[in-house]
Amino acid sequence: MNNNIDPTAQIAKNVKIGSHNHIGKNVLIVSKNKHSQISIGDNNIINDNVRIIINDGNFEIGDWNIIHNDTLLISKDYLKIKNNVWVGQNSVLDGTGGLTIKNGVRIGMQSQIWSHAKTGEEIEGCILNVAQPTTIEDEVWIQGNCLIGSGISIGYRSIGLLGSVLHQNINSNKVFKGNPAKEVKGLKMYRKVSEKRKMRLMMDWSTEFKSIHCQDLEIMNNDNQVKLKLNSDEIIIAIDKPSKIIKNFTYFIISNKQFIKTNSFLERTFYKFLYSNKARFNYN
Amino acid sequence: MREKIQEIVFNSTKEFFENSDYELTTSIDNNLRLIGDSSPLDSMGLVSLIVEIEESINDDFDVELVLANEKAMSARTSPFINLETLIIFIEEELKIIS
Repeated sequence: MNNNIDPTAQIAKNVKIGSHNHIGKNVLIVSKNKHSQISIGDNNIINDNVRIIINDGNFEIGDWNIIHNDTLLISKDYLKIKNNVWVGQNSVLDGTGGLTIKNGVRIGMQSQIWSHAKTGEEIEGCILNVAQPTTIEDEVWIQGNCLIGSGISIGYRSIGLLGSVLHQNINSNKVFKGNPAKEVKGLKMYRKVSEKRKMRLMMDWSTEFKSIHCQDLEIMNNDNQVKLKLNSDEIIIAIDKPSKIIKNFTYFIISNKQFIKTNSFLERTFYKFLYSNKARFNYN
Repeated sequence: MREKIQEIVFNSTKEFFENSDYELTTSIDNNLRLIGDSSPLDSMGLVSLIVEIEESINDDFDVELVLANEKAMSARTSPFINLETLIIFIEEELKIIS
């Protein structure tokens, strides 16, 4: 399936892997329950020394995620990572009590996201024994060295500044910092961008992509659509999903950030150019 | 046009400080410093205020002005020194796109 898996990687037999993934040196994917459903989608990068320990429950990674070196992922209840998620080096993602990381989430280096706390002796009366689902909503950005406690929910597009230690839920579109982390009122890290301007940006990036990576690319800019063509691969960029979808064409839809994927060479190459911090689209 | 821009900038600045954790100890006028030691803002506060002003300008003038752009960031004299320099910068930018 066109995956690039280093020979030193050890991957459990019940792991279903899509295509065009990179799995680095000494990556360990351990499944302790053969009935656990474990799936890795397409175009993911799992870098060297990442350890994924699935004690129980299901484990799922969508498309176009990057998990950097030495990160530890543990699952017992479940651990779901959707699409376009970026996890920095030496991070910890704990799905013991259930962890969902939604589309486009960015997690800075050495951050930890927990869904359980359990170690004190019961015989001595320790009552700190929790396992609660933690949910990180779409497009949340947790900067480096952040700690997120068990059972926390962080709302859509919120940002945790460096070194935040979060013990309480955060609503959508907030910026938080400190220990214990609190919302910083007044900060606004996104400006409004009209759909028309988004189309112009996509057109500009298409032109830039052609000049840097793909001289043979044909670009056609019609009414409300940008069309990219390379040999038999075609991409349509449109504000709304066209009523007629042509099979084997890739569609990037601006209004809902969705894409209809084909995994063609042009789609993968163009998307690699976009997905770092220009534009991200999600595949359902 | 400058008077209209000034009104929008002052109102947005007032609203920003009323709804943020940033404390304003001086009045809102042309001399209000946006950068430097005497500014009440850090870099993130500055960006947030600029975005707030940008949105108000865009709504009122029905344009798509980007204030924190490459030109502004690389200008020899920053347009973000105080509210007066910002107002002059917005006026120039609006003239360019109109």
